[in-house]
Amino acid sequence: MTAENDEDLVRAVRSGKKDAFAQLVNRRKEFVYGVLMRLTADPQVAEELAHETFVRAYRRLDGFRGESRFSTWLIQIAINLARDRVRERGREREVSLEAMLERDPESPALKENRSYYDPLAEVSERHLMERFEAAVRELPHSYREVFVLRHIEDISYEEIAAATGDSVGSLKVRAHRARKLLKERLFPETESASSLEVAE
Amino acid sequence: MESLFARYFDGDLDDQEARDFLDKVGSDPGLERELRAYERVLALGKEAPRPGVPRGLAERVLAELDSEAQPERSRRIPWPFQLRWANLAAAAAVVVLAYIGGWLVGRNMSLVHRTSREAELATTSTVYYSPELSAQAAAAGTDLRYVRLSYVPLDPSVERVSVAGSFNSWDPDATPLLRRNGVWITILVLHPGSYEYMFVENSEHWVTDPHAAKTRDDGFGGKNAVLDVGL
Repeated sequence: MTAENDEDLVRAVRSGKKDAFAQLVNRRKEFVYGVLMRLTADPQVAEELAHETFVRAYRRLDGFRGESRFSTWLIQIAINLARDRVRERGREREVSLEAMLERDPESPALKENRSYYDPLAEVSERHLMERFEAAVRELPHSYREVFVLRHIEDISYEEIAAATGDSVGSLKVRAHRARKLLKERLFPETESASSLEVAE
Repeated sequence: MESLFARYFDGDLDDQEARDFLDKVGSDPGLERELRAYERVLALGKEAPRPGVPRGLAERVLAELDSEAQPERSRRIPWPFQLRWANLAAAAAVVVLAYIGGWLVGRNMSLVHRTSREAELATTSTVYYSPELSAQAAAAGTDLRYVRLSYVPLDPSVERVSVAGSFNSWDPDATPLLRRNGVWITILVLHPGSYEYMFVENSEHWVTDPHAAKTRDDGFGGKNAVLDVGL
């Protein structure tokens, strides 16, 4: 069978066409796994949580009321699983660059993080992308979450708010802090002398 | 300026505010460099490739849902995956019979490699039984269990690793492991029971899991690892 969109497939599953869910999984697995991979930075955990996301989505499909896009509803499940995992681990690396910057801009750890940066070097695009991915992984989870959803997956703040339960204002603050941390990590020569002025 | 940068990139400045902001940035080389750096960060986000999806992810999801009822209404359409586990169980039964009869000629030939290689290996492997997922499966009315197998060959140049066992007709090509940061992994979805298995490197070297909690003589001078699932 072919369907126009996710919502058509959801209706098909509800009407008894269980194979329509296979299409939903195949259609959305890259999106779900991609987000979870960036949120967890662990291929095994991302795979496990992606698996669980789809299983839960199927079991709770009657809870999808069409008030948001199916993809938003789906990613809400994935985000909550990732947040639960972070809480369970209790090992979220809040040794963030932001914390180091606020504490001591000349801290050895920060210098170490920047040590590979050579402003005179001609950095290849590939190398820059690798550094970008590494810097995203280093963000505190709450910043990484909104940056990934807004600036990598291109999801609107309103949809992210619907998925996470956070306010749009709070999301924008975190997105800005994420952008600022990434900018300072990747392009430290442009670092602003001003401190963060956006209150959460 | 900090909040102006934030509002600019979130599209929250009106036209006049945006013009004033860009005029100010344009008159200050430092601010202009900062603006370009922010833009580069956002461009990298747009260009970042999506991570590749592990092979078999969708199949494993659908296999788990195989035995579940429809989320709503009755299941009127045959689920294409319903036969998978029934077929697997039948295949396993046939394998057991064949095994007793000594029909696995091809496998016996491979065992010659295995026993000599075993002594050389100091591999690390783990069998992780996921009680959380399995409990959820049980709560949903299915007895399927999840078992993650991981394996680290001593030789890092190994190009393929698979697991062959009583759950896949001892087919060395049926269940490949995926390499993740040097660790080969797969997740098995199994009904409760006792299974035997071996790792297979490059489709030819059969290796007993060196960290198996239990092994069983295979009748040919070697040992199979034993995996007790949810017993």
